[in-house]
Amino acid sequence: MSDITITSTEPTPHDESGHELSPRIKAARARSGVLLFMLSDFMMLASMLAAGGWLSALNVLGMFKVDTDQPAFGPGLLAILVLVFSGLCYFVWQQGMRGSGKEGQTPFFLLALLLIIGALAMQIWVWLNLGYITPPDAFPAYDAFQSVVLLLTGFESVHLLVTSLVGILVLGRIMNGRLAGRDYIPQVVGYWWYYTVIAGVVMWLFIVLV
Amino acid sequence: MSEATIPGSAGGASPARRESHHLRRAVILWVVLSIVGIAVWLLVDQFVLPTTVTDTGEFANTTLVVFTTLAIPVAMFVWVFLIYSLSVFKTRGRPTGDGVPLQPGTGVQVGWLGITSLLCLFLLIWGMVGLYQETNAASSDTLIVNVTAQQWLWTFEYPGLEKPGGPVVANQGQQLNLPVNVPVQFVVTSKDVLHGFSIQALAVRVDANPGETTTTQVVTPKQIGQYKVVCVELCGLYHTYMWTSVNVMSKADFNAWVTSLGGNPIP
Amino acid sequence: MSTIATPVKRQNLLQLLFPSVVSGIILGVIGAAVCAFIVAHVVTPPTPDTLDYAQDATIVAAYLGWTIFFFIGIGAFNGVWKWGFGRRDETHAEELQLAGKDQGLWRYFRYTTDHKVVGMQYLATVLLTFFLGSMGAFMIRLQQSQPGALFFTTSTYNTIVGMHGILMIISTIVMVSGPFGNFILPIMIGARDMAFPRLNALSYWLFFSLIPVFLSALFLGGFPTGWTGYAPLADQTGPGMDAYAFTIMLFALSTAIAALNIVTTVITLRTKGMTWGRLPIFVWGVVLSVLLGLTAFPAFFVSEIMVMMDRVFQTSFFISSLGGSNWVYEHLFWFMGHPEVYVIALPSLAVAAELASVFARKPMYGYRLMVSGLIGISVLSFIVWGHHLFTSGSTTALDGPFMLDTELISIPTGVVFLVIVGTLWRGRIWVTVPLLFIVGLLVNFVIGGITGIYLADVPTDEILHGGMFVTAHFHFTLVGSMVFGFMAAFYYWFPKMLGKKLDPFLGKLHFWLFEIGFVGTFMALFYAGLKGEARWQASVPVEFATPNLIASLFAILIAASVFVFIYNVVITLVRGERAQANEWGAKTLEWAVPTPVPLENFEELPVVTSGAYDYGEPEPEEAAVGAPAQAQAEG
Repeated sequence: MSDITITSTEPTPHDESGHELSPRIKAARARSGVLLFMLSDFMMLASMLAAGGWLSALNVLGMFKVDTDQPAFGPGLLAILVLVFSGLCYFVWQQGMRGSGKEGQTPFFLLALLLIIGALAMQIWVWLNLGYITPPDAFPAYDAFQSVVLLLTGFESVHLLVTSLVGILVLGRIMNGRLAGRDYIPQVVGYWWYYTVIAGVVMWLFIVLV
Repeated sequence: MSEATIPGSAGGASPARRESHHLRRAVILWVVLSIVGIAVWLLVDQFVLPTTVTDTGEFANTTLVVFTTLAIPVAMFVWVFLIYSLSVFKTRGRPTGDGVPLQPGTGVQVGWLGITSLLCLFLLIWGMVGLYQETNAASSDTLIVNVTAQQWLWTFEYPGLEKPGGPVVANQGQQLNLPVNVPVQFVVTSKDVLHGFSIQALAVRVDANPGETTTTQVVTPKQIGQYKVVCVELCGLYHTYMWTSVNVMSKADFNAWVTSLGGNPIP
Repeated sequence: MSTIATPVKRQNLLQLLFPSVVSGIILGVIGAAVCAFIVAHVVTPPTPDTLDYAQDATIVAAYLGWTIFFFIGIGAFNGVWKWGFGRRDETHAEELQLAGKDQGLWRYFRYTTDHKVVGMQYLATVLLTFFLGSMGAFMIRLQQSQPGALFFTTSTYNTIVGMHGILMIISTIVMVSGPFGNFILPIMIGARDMAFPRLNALSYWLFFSLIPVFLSALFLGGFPTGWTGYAPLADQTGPGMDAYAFTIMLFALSTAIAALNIVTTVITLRTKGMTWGRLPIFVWGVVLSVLLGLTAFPAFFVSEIMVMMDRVFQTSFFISSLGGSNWVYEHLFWFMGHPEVYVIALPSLAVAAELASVFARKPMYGYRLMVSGLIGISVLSFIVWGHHLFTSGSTTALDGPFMLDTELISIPTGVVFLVIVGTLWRGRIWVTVPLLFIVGLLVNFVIGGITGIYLADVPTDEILHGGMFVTAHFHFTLVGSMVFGFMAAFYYWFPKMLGKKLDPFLGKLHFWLFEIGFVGTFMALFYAGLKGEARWQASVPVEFATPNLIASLFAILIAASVFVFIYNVVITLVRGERAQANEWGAKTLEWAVPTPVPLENFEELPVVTSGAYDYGEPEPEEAAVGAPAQAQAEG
């Protein structure tokens, strides 16, 4: 015999048939999930920047960096501008989605997505053209600064890849008309989108300034 | 016979009196066991503490003694109340009623937090004092020994006793001799991976990092004898064999040894 | 109430096998082989110039191939695809299908979303990793029972030490949150499932998928770094290190996903009336634990990425000749490493508080105090990591602050002790096997915690760091306390999860063998540490032979306890007596549902009107439907 206090009459407010989650709950969980994921990713980014900063400060055996290590300013800047522009397009699209969800705003989303993919392509191009040579038999080959640059550009590429994939999935939803009535999706995907943009800018600034 | 589950209802002696009866017994048990525990500890500690021949080591040992002496009443408090509860309040099989719904009053909360904070403060002050004592700079008559770690041996040099033509090393640098009653400081680095330079008897311990030098505190060995240098960071295959002896000898013997290698004796 | 619009057919064997773990493994192995082949022969063909890293590149490619194709094979991407390109949302029937309805035992071998299935999967897997780790432990004690590396070569021994460490760390991190955080927690808060059921399955299968990766280290020459994987030794050493690094990355991913799932579930899916102030303490413990993991593990992830980059791409994060520093690795590692031990500790301490209340039939002695204690420990745990690095040479200026913060943790820890002991004091104590393990936890944690203070104090750390005293300290905390907490949780929730009652006599035998063996083993090792024995000794120095022999003899008792435990579990599953739905008379929601727990847990979601610890309180005015008035009853 159970002596637990349960009254089991009214259904809970967030639960209509008893099995389907209410839209409010779905929005809350999407928000929570993405924000927590971003927190985890941010801690990765922070670890990388802290490590890079400390390596710079330690400058072990004076070997942290040589001047020729600095990546060319132009291509990196261009990649970042493309990224920021993508974020702006997403913003415009998201504003247009509010309340009405009109299809007319879709070109902005498409542009945002294409720009992200463009940024990814540029990032990979930058990475391949850093000019860091691997002597065939040298271990290690890259100095600490080059290592940090390789790490950050790689991490950025992963971010852009993930954002591209998410964008493609959202595009799928738009094409199937499954975005209506789910305002939280553009909002929550937006969190991640803007985070990618900001993280990219921060990483780029780090490489330029360190 | 079950105890009253609601304060105030009758059922034998009043709960308040029962409460103080149990509390009193537990506290007496606690005091007695703490005293016994501390007494046993103070008798036994000499057999358990590390052997040391420096003041630094003595201080560390004293710290262990003091901390344990403080810890015994703390430990006994938890153990006594726990075991007392389990012995005295236990039911035969599944309980048929509930226990007394106690909640910690403000007094208990403040008291507990206060006492634990005071204990913490004591530990902290003791630790800061010890830390301060450690960080004394080397004086001009400190013997400096350069220690180089590599997989899987230690090499030692005496830069201050240099002879023309190179540092004083013996036995391919693998012999460590020290004069008694002379302050010594070790400057440590590694050629490859992380190692841990440690001489338990002198109470020195510092990591050997590639590309960096680290220094131990200044310690003065006060007893002649043979002690051990061991590696305390896992550094690969033969980590377990990465140890050697350190000989603390009289100043005269030490100087004789240095001179025989062509170096300058210490004053 | 049936909401099925279209009847769903029972699946035939082929539909059950594909997708399932079987198809996952098949595809994963193929994927590993293909990727390894491509990298080995096309991308970095092994020439004398590239031999150094070509091997590592091939191995890492194999692991990546394994992971991606395993998840394709097990059907993990189906849901992702449908989210974006599906024409409609899933019907309720389809969701039940994903949750394993009508699949019998097969549901445990598929990408099943039901939290109870995931909980059982975690339980079985954790018991396996614990078992493997224990075998490592007994091999260590065997080797150290005599001086001279008599039983295993030094190389083998170093690998055993490392594998024991990682297997145990992985097991202890997951041991309470995985099985019970998944199975029990949603029911406890009155939910039907986790917030993200598919991510739940993902987090489990990520955990599963790392096991072959980790065990492959045995075929790659093992790894000599111990569980901490310090660089630059990690950079320098053979291919087994790649297995270690990749395992960690998969593990970090698994726990991050599990963490965001659990936290989101508790934030959004608490049933009506289940306010934060009425949340069972177990839920608080798990939520805080996974939040710590979410924020701390990324640093470890990053350190392993760096190790992999050093090994495969020839970077020099940790190679000093080109500006790298091993201090960076150490700090990244311990920034994770200290919160990690509280990730392990918090769920077990919460279980202890939970069970104390149930088995003393008393309200928790200061529920809010306990929650503050757990929060205090969590917050402080982030700023103490430097105490692992007092002798590293890298933190000299910060030694004082780190010492201060570390000693401060004793205050919220003391609060936790006060609450649990106070809950037992003057209770009506039912000495069951779960409660025995809780008592063992508290007894051992006193020793573990106090010896931690010695290590937190810089002057004493100078003579103790890197020695067996440290080993004994962390075994007293992680094993003697936290694993005991897991055992308590296991015996406690076994009747609900598996419907049977474990034999109490064997349970008590398990406890006493474990406790006596454990205390004997590690008190001997405390002594050895004080006398100067260093850690990781493949050949125990002669002067420490006696304490090590004593430790190894006591370890035989621990081994015996493991076999008693296994025997008890097996015999109970085979012919144990059925358990009651509310075996212990507890008040949390999982005991209000029948055993076995039905799919979706509740017919109607409950409305909660009181906390779970109001034993001995007068009955509230509205009489509960179907619940007898109980507070006034005398014995």
